[in-house]
Amino acid sequence: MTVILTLAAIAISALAVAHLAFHDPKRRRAFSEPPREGRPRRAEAWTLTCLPGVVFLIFDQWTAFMMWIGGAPLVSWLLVAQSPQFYRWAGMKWRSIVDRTNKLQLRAWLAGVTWPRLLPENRRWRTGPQVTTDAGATQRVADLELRVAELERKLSESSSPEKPPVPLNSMTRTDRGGAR
Amino acid sequence: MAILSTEQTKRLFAIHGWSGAILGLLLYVVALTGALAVFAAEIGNWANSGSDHHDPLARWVGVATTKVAADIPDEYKEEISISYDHSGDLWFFFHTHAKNAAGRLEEKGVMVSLDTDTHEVLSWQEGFRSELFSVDAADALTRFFVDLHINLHVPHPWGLYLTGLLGFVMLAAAISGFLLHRHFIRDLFLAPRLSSGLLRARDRHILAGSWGLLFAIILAFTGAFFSFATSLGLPVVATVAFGGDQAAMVEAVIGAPEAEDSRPKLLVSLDGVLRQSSAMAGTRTTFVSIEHLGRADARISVFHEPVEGGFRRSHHVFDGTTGIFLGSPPTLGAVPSAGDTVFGVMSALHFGTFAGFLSRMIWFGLGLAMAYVTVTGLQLWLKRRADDPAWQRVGRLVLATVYGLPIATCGAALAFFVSLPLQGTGFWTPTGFLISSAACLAIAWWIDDAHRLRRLCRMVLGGVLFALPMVRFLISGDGWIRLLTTQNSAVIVLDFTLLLAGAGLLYVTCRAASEAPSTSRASEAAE
Repeated sequence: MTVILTLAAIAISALAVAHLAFHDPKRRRAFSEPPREGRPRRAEAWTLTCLPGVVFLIFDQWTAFMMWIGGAPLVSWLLVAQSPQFYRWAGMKWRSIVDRTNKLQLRAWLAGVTWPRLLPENRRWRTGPQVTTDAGATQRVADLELRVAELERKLSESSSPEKPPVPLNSMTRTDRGGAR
Repeated sequence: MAILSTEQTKRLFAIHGWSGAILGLLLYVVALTGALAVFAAEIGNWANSGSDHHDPLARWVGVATTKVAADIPDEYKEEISISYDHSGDLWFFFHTHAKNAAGRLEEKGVMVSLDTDTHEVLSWQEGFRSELFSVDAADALTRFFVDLHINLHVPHPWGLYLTGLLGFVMLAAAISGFLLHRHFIRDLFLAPRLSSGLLRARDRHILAGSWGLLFAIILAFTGAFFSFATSLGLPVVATVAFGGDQAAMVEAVIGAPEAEDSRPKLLVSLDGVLRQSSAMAGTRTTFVSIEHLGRADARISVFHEPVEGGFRRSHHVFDGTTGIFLGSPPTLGAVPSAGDTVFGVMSALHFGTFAGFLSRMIWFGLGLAMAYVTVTGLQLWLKRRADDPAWQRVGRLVLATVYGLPIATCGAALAFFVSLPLQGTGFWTPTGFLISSAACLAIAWWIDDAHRLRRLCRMVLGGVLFALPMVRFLISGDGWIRLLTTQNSAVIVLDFTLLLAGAGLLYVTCRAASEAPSTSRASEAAE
C-alpha cells in the first residue's frame, strides 16, 4: 500500500512540475517556443507539487513521505532536463512504434487467425486496419502541408516591402537625394 | 538567490570551484559506490547466482548452533553472532574481545560456515574479526564496494576521516552553490541549452544541482556524521565529557551492563525463540546475537527487516534460559529518546534500504544524481580552462576516472566470477579492480584525443556490462529458467539490466561514431 501511495504521489508531483516546465517562459524562450496563451496557473501547480508531502505528514505516513521527498525531485529533474525537441522526437518515435505495432498486430492476426478462413473476409480485414495506418500518414501529410503553407505565407510576408512603393513624382527633392 | 557582494561571490565561487576540483574525483567515487551500496544485498545475491534459501535463519539454526558450539573453546562463547551470506550459507562467529596487534580492542574468535540444509561445516577459521572478514567468501564483491564507499580502502581510521571530509566538502559545495546561484527558481525548469558547450555544461550542472540540492545536503551531512561519529566523535566526547573513559561513555550511551550470573544453565530452544520473534515482527530475521551461551545470564537478540510502512528494523531481546521476551531496546541509550529517533531517521535517510525495492531504487537514483552533479561540475571547471594544456591533461584524467570507475567495478566483478571456483575471491576482487583501473589510466595517458578516449571508454564499458551476465552464467551454470524456479528473479532482473545497459551503450557509441564523419563532412560543406 505504501509503495502504491508513494508512486501515485511522485506521479502527481511530477505531472505538476511538467505543467510548470511546459508553461515556463524562460524555458520557452531558450528553445524558441512561442509563449503559451492563457493563465499558466503556477500557484495551483506548485500547490499540487507539494500537496502529497503535506498529506503524508498529516496522516503520519513517514515512510511514504521520505520516499516521496527523494523520488519527486529525482523524477522532476529527469523530466525537466529534456528539451522540448526531445519530447517532439519522442512523440514522433512513439507514434512510429504504435504504427509499427499496429502493422505487426495485423500481420500476426492475419497469419494466425484469419488465414485458414475465407479469402474475401481476409481481404476485408486486411483493408480494415490499414485505414488506421493510412489515417496516421494522412494526418502527418496534412500537418506538413499546413506547415509548408505557413512557411510560404511567412516567406511572402518577409519578401514583400513593408510600405507600398511611393511614386517618384510625389517625392520631394530631399527624398530623392536621400534615396540616391 | 541570495544577495551577496561581488567580493563575497568571488570568495564563495573560489571555495565552490577549488574544493570540487581538488576532491571532486574522490567525491565521485564515494557517490557512485554509495549508489551501488544501496543494492549491496541484491548485487551479492546476483554474484552468487541467487540462493535456494530465502530465510536461512528460519531453518533449525538452534540445532546447528548446539552442534557447532560443542567444538568451540569456552573462551569464545562470550558472544555468538549468527548471520548468513548471499549464497544462503549460515555463518557463526563465536568470539570474545581482545586487543589486536595495533592495540585496539577487537572481536577475536572462531568463524564457522555451515551448509543451511545439511549443517555440514564448510569452513572453520580462528583469528581477529578484521582478518576473518577479509578471507575468501561469497560476500567478497559486495564487501569490496561497501568498503570502497565507507573508507576508500584507506586504513582505519584515516579512511573514515577522508570520507567524512568528503561529506563536508559536498555539504559546503551544495550550500555555496545555492548561495551563488541567483536565479534558483527561475532556472529550475531550464533544460540544458544547445547554444554552446560551456553554456550546456553550466545548465546541466545547475539543473541537476538545483533539483538534488536537498538530498545533496542530507546525504552529505549524514555521510559525514557516520564517518566521524565512531572514528572521531565518540573519542572526542569521551575525552571531553568522561575524562577519556570510553567505557563510561559507552555505558552512558548504550546503558549499564546487567549483573553477571555465571552459573551454568542450558540455552532455551533457539528455534522456538526465533519463531516467536518472527511472529512478533512479521518480517524476515536478518541477524541473531547470543550473549553468555550456557550461562544463567544468557541473552538472545534477534533483528528483523523493517515492517511495511516503518523505516527502522525490529530488535527483540529474550532471556536466554527461559525464552521470555524482555523488550525492544532502542539503538542508542537504554530508553527511547529524541536522540535515538534522530539517529534512526538519519540512518534511514542515508542508507535508503527502509522500504524495500522502491526506496532502494530512489536512493540509487539519488546517488547517481550526486555523482552526475560532481562530474558536470568538473566538466564545467575544465571547459572554462580548455585552452590550458595542464588542465587538458586533468580533463583526460577526469574522463578516465568517470568511465574508469564503472569499468573497474565490472573488472572486479569479472575477477570475482573467475576466482569463485578457485576460492580466491578475497584476493582477486580488489586485484581485478586495480588492474582495470590501471588499464583505464594507462589508456588515458596514451590517447591524447579526448573524443577518441571517450568513445573507447564507452565501448569498453558497454562491452564489459554486456559480458557480465554471460560470464556469470558460464561460471555458475545457473540459467534464467533455474533462477525462476528457485524464486531468484532479482538475479534475472540484474542480468537483464546489465545486458540492456551494455547493448544500449554500445549501440549509442557505434551510432555516434558512424554519424560523426558525415556530420563533419556536412559542416565542411556548409563552410
